[in-house]
Formats: sequence, structure tokens, C-alpha cells
Amino acid sequence: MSKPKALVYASSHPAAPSRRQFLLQSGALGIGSAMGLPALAQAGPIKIGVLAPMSGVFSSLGLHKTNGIKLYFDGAGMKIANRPVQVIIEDDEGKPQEGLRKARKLVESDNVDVLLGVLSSAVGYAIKDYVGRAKKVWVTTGAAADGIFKKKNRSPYAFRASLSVWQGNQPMGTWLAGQKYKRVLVTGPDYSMGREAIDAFRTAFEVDGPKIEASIFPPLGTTDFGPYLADIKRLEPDVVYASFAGSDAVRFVQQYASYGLAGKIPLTGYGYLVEEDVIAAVGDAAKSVRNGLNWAYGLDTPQNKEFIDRYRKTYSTVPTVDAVAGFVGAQVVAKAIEALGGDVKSQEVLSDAILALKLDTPRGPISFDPETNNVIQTIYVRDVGDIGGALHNRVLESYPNVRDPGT
Amino acid sequence: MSTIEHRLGSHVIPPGRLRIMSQNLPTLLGFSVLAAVPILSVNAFTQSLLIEIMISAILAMSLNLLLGQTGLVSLGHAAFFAIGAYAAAICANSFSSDVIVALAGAVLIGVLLAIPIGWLSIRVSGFYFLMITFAFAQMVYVAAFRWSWLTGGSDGLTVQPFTLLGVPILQARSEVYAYVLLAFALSFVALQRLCASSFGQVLAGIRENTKRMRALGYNVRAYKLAAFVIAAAFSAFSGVLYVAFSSFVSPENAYWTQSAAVLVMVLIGGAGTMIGPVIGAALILILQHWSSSHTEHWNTILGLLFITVIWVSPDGIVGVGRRIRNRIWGGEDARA
Amino acid sequence: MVSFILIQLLNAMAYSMLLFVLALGLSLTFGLLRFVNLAHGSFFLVGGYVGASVILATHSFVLGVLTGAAAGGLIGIALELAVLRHFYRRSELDQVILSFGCALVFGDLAKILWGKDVRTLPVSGMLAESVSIGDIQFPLYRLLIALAGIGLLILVWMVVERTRIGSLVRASVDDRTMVGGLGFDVRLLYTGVFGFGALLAALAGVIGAPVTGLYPGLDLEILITTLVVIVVGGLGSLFRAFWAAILIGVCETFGKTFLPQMVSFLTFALMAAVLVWRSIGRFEEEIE
Repeated sequence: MSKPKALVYASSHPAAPSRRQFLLQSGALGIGSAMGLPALAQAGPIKIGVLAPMSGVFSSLGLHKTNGIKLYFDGAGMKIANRPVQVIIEDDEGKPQEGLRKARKLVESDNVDVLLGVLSSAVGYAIKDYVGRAKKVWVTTGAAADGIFKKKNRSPYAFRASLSVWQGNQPMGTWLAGQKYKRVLVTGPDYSMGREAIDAFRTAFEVDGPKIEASIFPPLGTTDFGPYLADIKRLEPDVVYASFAGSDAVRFVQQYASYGLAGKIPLTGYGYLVEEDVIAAVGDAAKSVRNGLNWAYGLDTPQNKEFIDRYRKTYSTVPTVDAVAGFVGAQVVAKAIEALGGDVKSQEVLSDAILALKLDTPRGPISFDPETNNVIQTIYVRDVGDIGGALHNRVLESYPNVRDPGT
Repeated sequence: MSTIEHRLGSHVIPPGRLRIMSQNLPTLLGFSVLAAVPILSVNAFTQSLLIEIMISAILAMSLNLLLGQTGLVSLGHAAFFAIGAYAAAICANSFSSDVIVALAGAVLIGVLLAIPIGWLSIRVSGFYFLMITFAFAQMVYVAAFRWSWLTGGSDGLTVQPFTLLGVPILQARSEVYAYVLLAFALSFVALQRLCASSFGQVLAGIRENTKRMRALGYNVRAYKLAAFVIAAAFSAFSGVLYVAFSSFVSPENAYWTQSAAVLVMVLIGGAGTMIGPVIGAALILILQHWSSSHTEHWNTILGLLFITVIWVSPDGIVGVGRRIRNRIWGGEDARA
Repeated sequence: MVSFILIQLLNAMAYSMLLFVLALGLSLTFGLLRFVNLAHGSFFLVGGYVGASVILATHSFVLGVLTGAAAGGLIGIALELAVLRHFYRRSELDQVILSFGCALVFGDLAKILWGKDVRTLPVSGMLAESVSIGDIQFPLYRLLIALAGIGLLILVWMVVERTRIGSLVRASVDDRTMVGGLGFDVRLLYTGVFGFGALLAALAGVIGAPVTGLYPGLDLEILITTLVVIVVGGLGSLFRAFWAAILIGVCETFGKTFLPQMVSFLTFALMAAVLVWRSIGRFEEEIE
């Protein structure tokens, strides 16, 4: 589902003239090899293939992601370890069939050194299977479904630098149980992400808290939440936990307020319920909604501040967690290749390099779990409030080193 | 009244011996070129694109049996593609990874579902037939999306590798290519023969004038149902091929836009012959792939293509080719 | 429990009227012109976007509604003049392909002009109020949509059945040559009707946008919803579209509460069932 944004027009258009190839050669190619870097028989640029939904329902998320990726490489001067970098962006349209076709093109025709990207979990499942057979390293910046990265299906070629749905929701379960609510109602879109989020929340919540009172799962893409909101009102829970995202989130949060529930029954949820782009669309209806995600606009670290500053200057819009995901994914790839001195000949060696990484990112510190290849990171409990005169997500609490169990 | 009848009626035949050559030569040439591809060690990605084109071509040709031959315009054809794909995937994952078993099972399930769907659908025609096939296709999509215990839901299904008599097959790209090419050639010949047979001629008659066929004593509904089921069988067949190639299936394969895409392939290529859908499939796939690498505005290109083709040449590309051939050879009736 | 049922009934009514307003334009175009217009969703989307932009600039909801609807009407007229009028005598399939091509182009243009993100149409002041019914609040705006639906039904019916223009249009559908022979410009009439249908679709867009949001892909979603209503109601009759909208609205609203798993499936099953029902006892070519 598309993500909403402030009513600014120009920002939707990427800065680069050619969307497909974002290439900036930094000075003479020869300088790099003349620097005496060891065994640099590979002339030519490091090719990074990016798969993202540039059209279709996820297109605005895909745009943020590629913006984040471009921002990183731009900041690094389009170089890794003194070798120039060529970023080739392909549109997977959020569909597995197209995603596989573009992946094949990037790997077999363009001969990229590494794959980056993918947002939709369905595409994620398909690509994971493909890179295992093609033996090409892939770092995903989305594809949050729990099942893609488990212990039993671990592949040395696939890494997830974003988050798993479990990671995004489990800490909220723990946190909300600590708030001592008695009657909780859970709701979310009726498909894998929506349900996985609620399951993760429920398991954590019911450890210390009471049993979940009731659950409501509207179909994905519901326009009119009226009947469900009336149901919620009838059941009168103490708090509602919701896992909607995209246009569903915009409609749900807005209608939650217009049906008068906002003041009466506190709303909480998975971070995508009130991410920065949803806030931009619904405004005050998102106020005070507590939620959990692996980044917050208001995270007060110099790295985050610098990232937000640069993003806002370059793209004239507020970054979202997807932009950060793209940025961090690019960072992972760049740092791993840097650790190898720019030598990307062996995919297996690259895979080990990624596993060995410990990075400081705008989201906080991250590393990779060798049992699942999923990222280990901090999850933030946030609430929507005022930062510098506008509504953004602020950090309430942090849960460091959250690790998806992979079972 | 549909103008499909007017379009498909005029088939110009150049005189004498040239006829047989001109009809079969392009086809033979085409197949020879395709067969040479793996031998010439063409890039693996190009092979995969050709595989996808051939699979889409089988799907488009099967729709042509319904559309071009019988005059039934279906907006739900991709549903059977998805049914075949899912059936083969579930078979390989849970029952037997033998490719023959999966193929037979998938086609059988496709046929079994096509019978009631077809029986109900053929009771209406024109725009309503379009809508009822659309409704059934959407039901298949919703089922694929919601019954995650069976279909993996919105995440799709990864398919275990197929085997033949216990030995894993279809591992290498060129092996897949060879089998798909064989399947494509067989389907092409089979469907062409079917259309040329007396069965096919009855279908053509139904397309031209249903009332007269009924008055002549033909059981029109039975013939329509037969066409529907055969088309569905080939559609399911192409779904199995797809799964063998990509090892993945997801609900998107059943969404109505996929059905629309196949419909467009047939119309743009030309609904009157079997080669038209093939051309349409190749054109649409190549255009989509190429333009989405260079622009986000693939939809505009596609939209303009629809508008242009339907305005200028409702016969599709084959129609254009025919008009050119008429100019060269004169032909028996030179009205294009 | 009583107030719960009452609320759900209100929800059903409001949703039904939203569906009706969506379907109105298409029903009119097909009913009067016999033209299948799949660009209907695009008019909805463009009307919504234009209305949203105007409301943002002027803070006037009424102005937004008027400009949005007018924009739709103008685009509809332009499209009819440029492209569609050549296709009145073509088959339904050709009309489907042509209008779908137009829909694709419009959808892309909208994406270029207004971006990819989900937008909302801001509703402020009195319209954002809620009324208390029982112990729950019900958005006033939904009630307004319901009233608008009924109002539009009466208005359009009167225009078609009771005005001179309306009777001219109906006559020209039956016998175009005769009407032309009587000295009326039939082509202009057709253009006007199509523009009116587009205007209604765009009006639905502005009115409906506060509920649906505005984003790329909405045009196709709306198109599907509209087609379901039209098919269930039977193409070409305003009142049948009205009752179809109520039937679908009630089924879906109460289905969401009591049979949540089956709702999406049921809508399409209903569509197929209605079509089969109509076909009983008739040959397929004869179904209206």
C-alpha cells in the first residue's frame, strides 16, 4: 500500500535525471588502481543492483528507499574503497513475477556484484529462493515477513538489514504489558504481515499481561472501517493495538478519530500505523499514538540528525523508516566491500564480511545474527508528538539488541 | 453486434503453391530460430525472457481459442493459469515432486474447475460474459490470497524442485528452455489443428452467427463449454510450465490485471490466427521489460499502445501484416 | 445491542450511498449512450485530486467540490471530442480496450501531477463534526454523503426524465437519425451527456475522497467497485443501480461484522449469481 506524505509536489521526483542508472564517476578511474590496493585485478566499477517498487501500490515507499540508497552513495562520493560505484535501479512493481525477471536481468545480464533492496515480502520469498540458486549476495531493505529469514532456511547469500515483523512488534507487547492495561483489543489487515504482527505482539503481551480480549481483522484495502469501529466501541477495550500500514493506516487512523474513539480508547500499534508519511496525511488524528519501530524521527543522535538534515535538503521532504532502511542497506553493502578492500570476486567471502559487521547507523548500532542472517538492532517505543513545531515520532523507550529468534 | 466477426472473416489467400509456403514458412523459420538459441549459447537472461514469452504465448493462444475462434471475450483467463500453477506447486511441495504427476494433476484440476465455471459463464455473452469471467477470476484471487493454509496466502509459495522418476530435472536454464520450447511447439500445432478441424469450424460458426448455428441444430452451449474447458486446460498447462521455470507462485498471478494483459496480447497481436497471440505476447513482454528499465511511465506507454492499436488496426499486428501482404500479392479479395 | 445495530445500519446507508454516487456516472453513460467507459475511475481520481488541491489553497469545501466536478466534466468532454466519439458504433470490446487505455494514461498523468503518496482530502469546520447517536459518535460527513446520494438520484432522474434535454437524449439513443433530422445536433448532445457522466464521477471523487483517501491505483479499485454495483443493478437504469448499491452496501457492512472471512468473496459471488439469475430461461445474446 502506498505511503502518504506531506502535500509537497516536487519531492516526489527523484533528483537524478536518469532513474535507471545513477552513475557518478569520481575522477580518473586510474587513481584507484594506482593507489596500490592489493589484488585489484578488477577494473571497472562495483555494480550494485537495486530492486524496488517504483510503480504500483508501493511506489512511494520504493521512492523513499531508493532515495535513501542514493543519499548514502552520494555521501560516499560514489565510491567504495576507492573504486567507483554504479547503482542500477530496477522496478519490481511489488510483484514476484516482475521482481524475479529484474533480478535475473541484474544478475545474469548486468552482472552486478551484489543485490540490494526489495520491499514486498512476496517478492522477498521469491528473490531469496533465486539468490540461493544464483549464488549472489542479496541484502534486503524490506521484506519483513518472519518466514523469509529463519534458522532452518538460512542461506549464506541472503541478508536482511531492515527488520522482521516479529522484531517490530514483540517489544511493544512487552512494553504495553508493563502499562498494566486489563482489556486489550488487537486489529490489523487480514494478510500475512498484519497477522504476524499481531501474533508477535500477543505472544509477548500475554507473558506478563492478561489474555487479549478480542481481535478484528478487516480485509486488506478496506475503505470503510465504520462497521469495525462500531464493533470496537461496543466491546469497549482499554486500549487498541493495530498493525495497519500504508493507505489502510491513513484511513484507519483518520476514521478512528472521526468516530470519536481517539480521545476515549488509546490507540497503539506497529510503527507503520503512524510513520512520518501517515502523520503528514492525517495530522492531528495521529497525536499521542504510541507505537514501535526500529527508527524514530526524533532519535537524538548526531548520526540521525545528520541523516535527516541531508535527506530533507536533498529531497525536500521528511524521511521515513523506509528511507532509513535504504540508507542502512547501502551502508551495510558499502562497509562490507570496504572491509574486503574493494574486492568483490567471491560472494562467499562477501557473505562472511557482512556477518562480521558491527555498524553505527542513523537507527543506532546494528549487527547480523549468524544463525538467521537477520539484523540485530534497537527497537524504539515511540509516540507522536511535537518536534520543532510539527508532529513527528519521538522516542519513549529503547529496547537494544533485539534479536529475531528465527524459530 | 461485435465487429470481431467482420475482422476475422476476410482471410486473403495468395494464389497457388505460394499459399502453402507462405502460410507455413514463417512459422517453421520461427521455430528453427528458437531451437537454435541454446545451441548458440545465448545469454542466460535472454533465454529466460524467451521462456517467459513462450509460456505467455501458450496462455495467449489458449485465450485465442475462446476469443478469436469462438468469439467469447474472457477477462478471467489468468485464473486458470494460476490454478494450474498453484496445483503443481502444492503437488510438488506436499504430495509428489514428479513432474508428470504434477502436470497431470494440475491440468485435471484446471479442467474440473473450468467445467462449472464455464457452464455458468456461457449462459451470458458480450459485456456480461466479460464481467462474469471477471467475477470468477476475482474469486480465485481472493481464495489464493486468503486460504493461506493451502496457498501460502499473500506471501506466495516457493516450489520444491521437480523430479522425473526420482531424478531431479529442470535444474539448468537451457534444460528448462528445451522443454518449454517443445511444449510451445506442441501447443501451437495442437491449437492450430483444433481450429482448422470441424470442431473449430463449428466454433467459428458460433462466433459468426450463434442463432443460425442453433437453428441448424448444433448444441451451441456444449460447444462453447468444450472450447472453454480446452482453453482452460492449456491455460493450466502454461501455469505448470511457469512454476517449473520460476519455482514460485503468488496471488498476483491470479489478479484480473493478468487476465487483462493476456487479453491485450491476443488483441494487439491479432485474434484471427494462432501466430497473432504469439506476436502479441512477445511484443508486450519485451516492451514491458525494456520500458520499465528506462521509465516509470510504462502505464502510459501501454495505454497509448492500446488506443493506437484499437483505433488504427483492430485486427492487431497480424491485420497490419495481412494488409501489407494483400498489397504485394493482390490476393483473391483485396479488400483489407 | 440496539444502538449497535442502529450504528451499523447508518454505516450501511452511508456506504451504500457512497457506492451509488460512484456508480451514477457510469450508469448514466452506459444507460444513455450505450458506451462502456472504463476510464470512470480516472475521473473519480482526478476530481478528487483537483478538489483536494483547491481546498488546500482556498479552505473552501464548496469551491473544491465545484472545481473538482467541473474539472472532471471538462476532461470528459475533451476526451469524448478527441477520442471516444469515434467508437459509439464499435463493439463493446473495442470500447473497453479504448477506455481502459485512456484510464492507464490518466492514472499515470495523475501520478506525475500529484505524486505517489497517499493523500487525504481535508475536511474541516462543521463537516468534521460528529453527531452522538446512542453512546457512539457518528461522523456527520457520512450522513452528508448519504443525503448527497439521495439528492443526486432525484436530481439526475429529473434531468433525464423531466427536462427537454433529457427527452432529447433519450430519443436520440432510440433513433439518432430522426432526432438529427429534426434539426438537433445529436453529436453535441452525446458530448454533453458524456461530460455530465464524467462530472458526476468527479463529483463522487471529491465527496468520497475524505473516506477513501487519494493515491495511485485508487482509480482501478473504484472502477472494480463501480462495475460490481452496475452489473448487480443491471446496466442502464438509475433506480436499479440505486437498489444494487443498497443491497451491496448492506451485505458488506453486516458481512464485515458477522462473516468477516467471507466478505470479499461474497461480493464477487453475488455478482456472478446475479448474472446467472438473469440468464435463466434466455438465450445468451438476448440478455439486456
